[in-house]
Amino acid sequence: MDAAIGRAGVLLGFLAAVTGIVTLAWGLARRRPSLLRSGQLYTWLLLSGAVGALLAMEHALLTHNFSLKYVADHGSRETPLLFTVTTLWSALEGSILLWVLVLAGYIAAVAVRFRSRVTDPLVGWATLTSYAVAAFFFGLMLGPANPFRSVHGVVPLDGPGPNPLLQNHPLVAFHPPLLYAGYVGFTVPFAFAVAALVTGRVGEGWLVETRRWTLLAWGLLTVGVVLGAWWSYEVLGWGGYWAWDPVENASFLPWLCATAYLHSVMVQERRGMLRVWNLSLLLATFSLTILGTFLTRSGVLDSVHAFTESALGPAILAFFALVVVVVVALIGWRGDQLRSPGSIDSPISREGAFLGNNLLFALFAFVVLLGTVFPLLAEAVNGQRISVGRPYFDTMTEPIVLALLFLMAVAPALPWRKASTELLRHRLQWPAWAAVATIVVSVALGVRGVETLTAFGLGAFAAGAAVRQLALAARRSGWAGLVGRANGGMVVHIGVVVIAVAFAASQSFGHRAEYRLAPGQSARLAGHRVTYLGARQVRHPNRLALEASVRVDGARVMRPALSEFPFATQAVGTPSVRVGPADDVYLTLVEGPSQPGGDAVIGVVVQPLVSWLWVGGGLMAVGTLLAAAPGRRRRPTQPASEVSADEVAGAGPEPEGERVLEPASLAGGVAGIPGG
Amino acid sequence: MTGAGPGSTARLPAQRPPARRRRWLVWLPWGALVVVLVGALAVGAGRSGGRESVDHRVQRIAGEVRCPTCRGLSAAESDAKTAEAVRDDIRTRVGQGQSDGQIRAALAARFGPDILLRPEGRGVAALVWALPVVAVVLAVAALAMAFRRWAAVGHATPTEEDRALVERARGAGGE
Amino acid sequence: MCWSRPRWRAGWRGSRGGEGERGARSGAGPSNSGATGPPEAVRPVRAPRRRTALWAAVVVGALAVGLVAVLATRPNFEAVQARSPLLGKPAPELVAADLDGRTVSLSGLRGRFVLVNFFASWCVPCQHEHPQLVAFTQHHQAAGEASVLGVVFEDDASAVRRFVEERGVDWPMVLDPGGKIALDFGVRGPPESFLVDPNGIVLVKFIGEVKATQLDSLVRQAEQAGA
Repeated sequence: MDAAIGRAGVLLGFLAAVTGIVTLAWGLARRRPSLLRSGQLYTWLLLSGAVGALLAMEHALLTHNFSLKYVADHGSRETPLLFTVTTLWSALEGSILLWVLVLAGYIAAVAVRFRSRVTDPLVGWATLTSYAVAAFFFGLMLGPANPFRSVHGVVPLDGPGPNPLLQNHPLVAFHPPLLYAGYVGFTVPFAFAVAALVTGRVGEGWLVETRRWTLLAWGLLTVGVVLGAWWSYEVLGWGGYWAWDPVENASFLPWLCATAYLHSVMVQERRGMLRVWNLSLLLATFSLTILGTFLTRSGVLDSVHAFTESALGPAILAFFALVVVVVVALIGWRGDQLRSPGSIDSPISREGAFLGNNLLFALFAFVVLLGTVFPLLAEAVNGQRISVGRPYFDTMTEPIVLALLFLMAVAPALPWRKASTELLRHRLQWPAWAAVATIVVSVALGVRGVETLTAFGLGAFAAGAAVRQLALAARRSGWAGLVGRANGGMVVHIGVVVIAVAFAASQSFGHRAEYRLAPGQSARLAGHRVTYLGARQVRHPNRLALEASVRVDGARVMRPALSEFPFATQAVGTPSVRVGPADDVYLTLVEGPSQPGGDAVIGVVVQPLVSWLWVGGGLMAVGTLLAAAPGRRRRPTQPASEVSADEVAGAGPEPEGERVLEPASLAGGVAGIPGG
Repeated sequence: MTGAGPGSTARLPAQRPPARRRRWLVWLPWGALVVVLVGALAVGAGRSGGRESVDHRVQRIAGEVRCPTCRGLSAAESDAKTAEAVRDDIRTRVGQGQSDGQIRAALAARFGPDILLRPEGRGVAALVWALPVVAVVLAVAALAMAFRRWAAVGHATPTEEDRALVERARGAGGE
Repeated sequence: MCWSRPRWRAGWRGSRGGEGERGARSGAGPSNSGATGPPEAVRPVRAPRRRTALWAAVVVGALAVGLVAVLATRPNFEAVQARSPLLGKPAPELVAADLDGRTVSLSGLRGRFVLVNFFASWCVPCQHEHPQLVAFTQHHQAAGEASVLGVVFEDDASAVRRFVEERGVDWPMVLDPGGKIALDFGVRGPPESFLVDPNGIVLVKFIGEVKATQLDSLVRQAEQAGA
């Protein structure tokens, strides 16, 4: 029954997508608004199919319907309820179901939001593109990744449960859905970018319309990535949170392009420039999403996160090739026609800084992508497999991150068009002093190493600039001053600085050791004392855990454990973390006592400022929400280059409100922003 | 002087002739800043605590070597038995006085070059280090060319019909 | 693309193809395309159209095609060829105690082919390949041409003893405390096997299960080549 409903749902979704494509294509080719209207209706069939299939699978999981192969392979009667629900996305086929649901949700939201413009060919092309993507993923589930396959032969009475690492921590309920919500969310701006290129209409409000979508997707992806790092830290047991693992890189690459886009789009709104850049960034974001999906699910790269090898590889690769062909063809065909005639007067200006920002992020993405796929390229050339691991990424990305921190500090202080030293001097004075003060204090506290000090200094520089802008906005408009794109963006910048500083500190000053301790024995590491008290076996419904009790600093008792799951060949470690504002004490049970009362080997990792990473992530989320809210509006006809009296008198930059183009305020014939 | 656009009506503060003394005074705090910065960095540049301990060196070298049985972790981070064996081997070799490069080569001689997390060697492996540098050079060159082209083109000046269009818009639709 | 649209959207018509061609060379100023464009006669001289986007797209496209071609031809990571740097070189020194405490050494087995087999009782493929090793031993051990030398990889002696009792193992099985032997041979995980020739040179490395027939033919080939 579940299988039947599930398969029907998938088939419905696929057919709805395909029929929608055909209808819209016909309507766009023959210029029939009625077909465009009816083409939109297939969105609801798509959504019903996705929802139905998902509900069928959850029902099968919750009722332990082992006649379904997916449930037989990944479900279990002993798994706790929460992890049974999350089994939906704990394995390959189910994760595609989640993807498809999120995508259908976004397409439906677009249909609702743009329902008044349903006959606009721009919206028509965007919907068509979204349908094409949905058709691909539904098609995957009809073919190689069918989650509703039935078990051959005897129906088992119980199953092995999901991967033990995915049953260890409640975060598994949040990280994948949020990550997917972000990842998949970029399909909407991608669809609109394709539509804009196809119809040739770039200089209009579609950009402003979809800005919030992109911001939302970006915010969700940011949270998803940070939660992934948190999950990696809390669950995997190696004490780190970011390993430049191929799957991590796959989620990071679209984030980089989307961040570049969110900044560069401001130049397009203000001066109509960098249009082709913006389109390319959006198209690249989505392409990298598909490439990342391929790398994650094809098994060509070794990764601690990878799903098991599957037959999906060729299909996703073919789709990636198709996306690349479409993207390249569109840019090659239309790109030069859509270039704006404006120019950037001086590199020392806000536009120049954003252009530099674009280049830096593009370089960052290039380095990460190169490092990720290089083992495959090298193997293709001379058959020898080499590894490109953390040392490479750390070395290569460090200068880029430092340059970005510098830009983060300087760019908000730069005016549009042209800067004068007087203005810069005035605006950057306090942030510069903050930076130097931070370096001096760090040196006084014993921090050594030019790289780390530079990172701290530049971080303080950027944070100082952001705080200064927020302070001025708050002084001017009170709490309302904190809302709006510019100020929300400053909060996000502060979050980024916090994360960068935490990253630098925890990488440079971590301590790691293993101690063989008898019950009652203590060890010291980096100013903390850990005392092993003893170990005992605890039976949980889904695992048998050997828990050690370790007292940290004479206060809290932590319980790192080794868990044996019934169908796993080796025990899985459950680390225990004592989180603190200055540092984290991270404990793992490496080896339990061989007899009761015997010695145990306890692994201890002490890293400073790890909790700041999660705080920084939270700040970025808050900043995104602030930025998504509407702020002060400028008059649409206020020229971008006009210098306000405030700026001239040196009182500070005018906090930028959001520039919104309302159709009502435009006279007939004027396209709005200078430069189109 | 401060980047006001054409036709702007912003008033600029009265200009005093920049006396030498005034200009020098203005730059003084920045000069002090630079001096303090350089001083702090000079003090902070040295390694803390003197020479690297054996433990530290073993951890560092192990951090550049894969753990053989793990997926994606280094021998320093993993607590697997094989990672421990690698660390013990490194410790023995450090005790024998081998250099970092020799230790890495010895491990690669047994596991293959993909045991090293930092790609080494001439030929193909060197590309992964060279390509980003090439990309930076190309990007800077392209940027320089673009700015030169924009500077040569000069500023756009509005024509009469442009002005008329803007007047119409401001008169008709301005807020 | 020029069918009639509702009036309120007249203002939405923005830049069209071709607008970018107007260079900023003369007083064209910021674009003001709208319903009415200036007549051709007063249009200023056009700057030659730059094809930057086209060339960039071509380059990116070519790189992407190359990447796709490479990705399409990659084998799965776990199926990578067993290219050990030990091939063709003398096998590392192997001296260890077996399950009963007797010392066994690889050099002591010189003069015959030895399959050094890394094994663990918890390793499912190792359990699968066990019959193959039994068959291989039966074919060659009596004649003294080849034998198997098992090395325990990250396992308890008691678990291995239980396996030996249950399934029967006719060849020496040595323990590897500290994982030194596995390290010397560059073993990533069981089952891995190394075929060593009578002179002590490593001929082949196998990652994964071995087949008796495959081993037989390799031994035969090596004998014919050497003898």
